[in-house]
Amino acid sequence: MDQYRLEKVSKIFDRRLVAVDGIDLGVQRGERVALIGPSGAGKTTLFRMLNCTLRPTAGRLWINGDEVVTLHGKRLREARRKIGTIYQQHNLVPRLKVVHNVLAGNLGQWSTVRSLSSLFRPVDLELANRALRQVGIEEKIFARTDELSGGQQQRVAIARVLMQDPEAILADEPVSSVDPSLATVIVKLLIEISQKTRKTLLINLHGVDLALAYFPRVVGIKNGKALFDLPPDKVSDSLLEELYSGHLPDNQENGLTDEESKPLVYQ
Amino acid sequence: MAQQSAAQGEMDIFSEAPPEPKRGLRFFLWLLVILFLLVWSFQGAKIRPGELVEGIPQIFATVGRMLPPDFSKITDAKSYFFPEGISLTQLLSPLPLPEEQQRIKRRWWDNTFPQTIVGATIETIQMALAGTFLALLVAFPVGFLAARNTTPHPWVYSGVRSVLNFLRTIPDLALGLLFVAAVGLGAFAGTLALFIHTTTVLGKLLSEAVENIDEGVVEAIRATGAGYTQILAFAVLPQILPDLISFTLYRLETNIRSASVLGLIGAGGIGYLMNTSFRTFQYQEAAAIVLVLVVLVVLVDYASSRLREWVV
Repeated sequence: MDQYRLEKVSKIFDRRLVAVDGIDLGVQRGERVALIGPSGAGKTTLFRMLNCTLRPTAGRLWINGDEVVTLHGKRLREARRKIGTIYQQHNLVPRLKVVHNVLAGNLGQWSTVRSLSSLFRPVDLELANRALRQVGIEEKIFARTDELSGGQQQRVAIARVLMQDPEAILADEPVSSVDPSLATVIVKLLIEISQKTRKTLLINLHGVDLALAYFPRVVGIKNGKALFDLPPDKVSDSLLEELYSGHLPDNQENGLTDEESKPLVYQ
Repeated sequence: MAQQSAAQGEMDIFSEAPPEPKRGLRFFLWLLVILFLLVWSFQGAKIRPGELVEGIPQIFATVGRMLPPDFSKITDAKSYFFPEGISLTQLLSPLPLPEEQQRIKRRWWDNTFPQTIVGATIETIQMALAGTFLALLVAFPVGFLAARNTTPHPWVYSGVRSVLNFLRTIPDLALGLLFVAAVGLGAFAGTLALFIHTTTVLGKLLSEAVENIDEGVVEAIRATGAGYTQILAFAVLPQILPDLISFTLYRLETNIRSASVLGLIGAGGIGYLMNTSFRTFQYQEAAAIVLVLVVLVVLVDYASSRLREWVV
């Protein structure tokens, strides 16, 4: 079954910044796909469309057979609930205790009353504990999140996704802000989780080596387009060279990946 | 030769330097306008240093008349006008009394006690606390409505913003006069004035705090499938909580000061007594009231800064 189907999906910011330029892509349930490419290529924007926090400007995007433009209100939130996202900047609430950040993964299922009461007295403590045990930092459950190291915070973010128990996990450069040895550990952890629970895993990676070593399918993204979509042994050095050629570090990255205006909370 | 090329190099450095900006006629015109404005203001403000110098002995004389402060209105039991036919313990204990005594007790608490220095000081604190609390209750939701990123609709945003901006331009003394006319002299009028003014200030500060949050967290919480209220509670509120607490404590401090001034227009609080003492030339008594106020403000400042350290 298709997890994702994309037909000529584009995202244009401010009517002129083309971040994603007509991508066609199909992802099967349970598949593991790595996306590589220079920064500013549109990978993050693509992920934000895939987790339904950004709507495509053009093209058609199906999630689980539902076309996202038809989703609104409750059905949109339900679609979001089934996709867990891990961000490069963790995007945890720094002042909250780890337990609340992990339990935030439940918000899609919890009623408003239950969510509010959990902020005073955490409910489902056992579930949060189990999620943290899986990522190996259960002793930090009552620590304040901003007191944790970068690697530990990324584990909390993974625990939040475990709590959410989605069908697909999107990891947007999850290891860019941790040191290289830890990067391998975290990527392996994500693969292990997706294998064990048969979740689809899409990952944006800065490191080509990690992508080629651990993922059966690698997609190269450049200038908002898919340059190649191949198994790792078919990704040649010349393809990689083409992927990264003409790329100046940090060219317009902010201009292309930032939202046109700040996202509104009330949607 | 080498020297020459070095000189050449230096020449190049200078030639690359940006040309010195020209201070044109426009600059001097602006300078003239500003100078004129200042001279004009000084005249309007009747600034005459000579009179100030001459007046300095007068200041000392007034301060001298205030010394030593006369605390007898605070320490002397006579100035509390304890009523007859009811004992002190009966008066101070909250226990119910027979009807006649209850009536005397009520009258003393409602009418007599607030006229004493201690009573008026307590009333000042109560006004500030009540006004700030009510303001917080209203400003909390208003802050979200008036923030661009959490407002339910752009119209709500601009509507709430304009109301806040308009009300904020009204000084709290003017609000006090308005409410004295509406609900009569006393602490209620002053509390209402503090409440309205503080709501507008807190609402504005909160909406700015909400607009400055890290949007990444909002996006992550939304991506879990959370609804509006859940996003506010999990992503927005934790980020603005330190600001919320410190703004509220700050306004509480300011309101203690405002509440003591509101007495001047009869809107309750200690300002009325202070004004009366000055007007009737009871300088020593006035000094005692000023000192009580100073102690009060210092205590509140200290308490709120400790509270802030503890919470934030």
